[in-house]
Amino acid sequence: MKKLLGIALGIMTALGGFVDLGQIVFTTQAGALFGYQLTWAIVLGTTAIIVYMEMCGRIAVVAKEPVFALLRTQLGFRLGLATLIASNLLNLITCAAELGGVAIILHLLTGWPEKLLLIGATLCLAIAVFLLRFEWIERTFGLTGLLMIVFAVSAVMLHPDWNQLVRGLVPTFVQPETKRSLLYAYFAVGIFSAMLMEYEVHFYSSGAIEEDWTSEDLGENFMVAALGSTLGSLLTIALLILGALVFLPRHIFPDLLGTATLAGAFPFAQKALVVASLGALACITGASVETALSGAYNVCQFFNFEWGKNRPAKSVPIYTFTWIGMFVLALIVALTGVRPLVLVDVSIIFGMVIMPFTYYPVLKVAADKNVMGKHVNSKFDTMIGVAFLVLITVAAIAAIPLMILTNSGKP
Amino acid sequence: MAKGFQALLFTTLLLLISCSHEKTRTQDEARSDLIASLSFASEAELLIDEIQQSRVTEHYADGHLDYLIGEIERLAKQIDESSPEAGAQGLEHLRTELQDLTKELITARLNVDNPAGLAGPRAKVDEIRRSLQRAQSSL
Repeated sequence: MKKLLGIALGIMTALGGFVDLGQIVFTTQAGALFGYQLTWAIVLGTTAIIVYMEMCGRIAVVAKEPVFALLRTQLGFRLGLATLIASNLLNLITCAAELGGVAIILHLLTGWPEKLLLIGATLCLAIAVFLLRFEWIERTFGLTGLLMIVFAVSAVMLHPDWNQLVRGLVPTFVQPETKRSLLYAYFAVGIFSAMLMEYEVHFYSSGAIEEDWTSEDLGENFMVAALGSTLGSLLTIALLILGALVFLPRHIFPDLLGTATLAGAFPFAQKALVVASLGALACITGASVETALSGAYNVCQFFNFEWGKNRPAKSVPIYTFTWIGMFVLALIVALTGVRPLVLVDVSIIFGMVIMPFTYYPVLKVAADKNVMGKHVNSKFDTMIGVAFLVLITVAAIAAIPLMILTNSGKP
Repeated sequence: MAKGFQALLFTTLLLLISCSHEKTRTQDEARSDLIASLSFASEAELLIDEIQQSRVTEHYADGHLDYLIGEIERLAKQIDESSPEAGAQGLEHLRTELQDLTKELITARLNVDNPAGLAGPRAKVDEIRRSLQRAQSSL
């Protein structure tokens, strides 16, 4: 019974922590431009994250190696170091975007000055991370993120065309004009990237080690990766539906965070808007914490420094200094006034570019019998992993040209 | 392979920097500006409707109107600071519409707690939206 409760809690935490600013923005915009035509990108991204998240968890359990330790051993020091720098730059940009998003939502909820809220929220988050143990950080932000379910309820209440939604599972290759085809490809890559953001697997595999998972927890690893991500993707599909039903008929391209939260409560009244805002706030806050901690995990795992959120801060000084540093630098970036949604665009596309360097070592180790023993990938696992790695590489190559050609997805 | 990766990062940064310094408004950008303006007008109309029906909180209404005004002013500034390429017509008209839209949203912001005072801005925003829609369909 205790095990079952643990699995249920893990799934709910994964569900609540699945959505972040990038997904809220990209999927709502995609729905506003293409209706349900990009549902397939969400499904593809979800399958890919399930496959790789499960592998990361399994490697963490069997080899006791988190992702960035693998990167150093599999890519070599120089390429590994380049990936570390790029990943942490990406974490920093994403963290700044999420903190900016937190300040915007708090401003819309309270009316207090945005910059003051930005500083206050960052300070509160840093204190919370300092005081809480890993599992409580994960649970607090993951479970409060469940408030995002109001977006799914709103989507259903607006009576989407389910047949059209199912048709969206197949890509539409022919668009009426070249610009629209490029935009379609840009948003497909953006959604795919947003679903597979590197910090999520870095955080997940580090968490497995933080929580001392053993081979007995491999079933839970699979359940959390599969069910948590699948249910989380339903929330992402709800965002797409809201974009399609609320914004597409009105020719609105939602380029503000407040616009997306408005859609989350559209069929209801004021109280639902507050719940939708709180749900988005929880998800974005959770993502900012995950990116800051991922930055610290990456550095420590790559250089083999002591790390761990559950250890006293004094015994892991570099780890503690790095995550605090991530928060401080992200706060400085956010305080410059750069718009969070611009940062999100950059982080998602830039994240796609470096993605193959994160996922390749994971696949290589998961398929290595010498390391994984009886828990090595089955042929099918490896085949699926390779297929997704090819897709990730193609998307990585296309990401920057598409960003330039579409002026960062401007219709 | 590491050098290739560094070169890719460097090229990416260069491209991003070079893209941010465009001064001439191409025909495609002018079309994109028109679509963005129409989106702002439609969103303003939707937001005013929501405020009139008390479906959003006062803080949300005030804050979101402020963000929307900021976005419109940013677009208007971008248009002001660029010169239209041959064939990229209608930017002057767009400037006027964006100025009018900003003015109406400022009035709406002053009346978020007074639904009756929103009727005027709502009607004018509707006019602006229709005008932008006509401009878009004539493209």
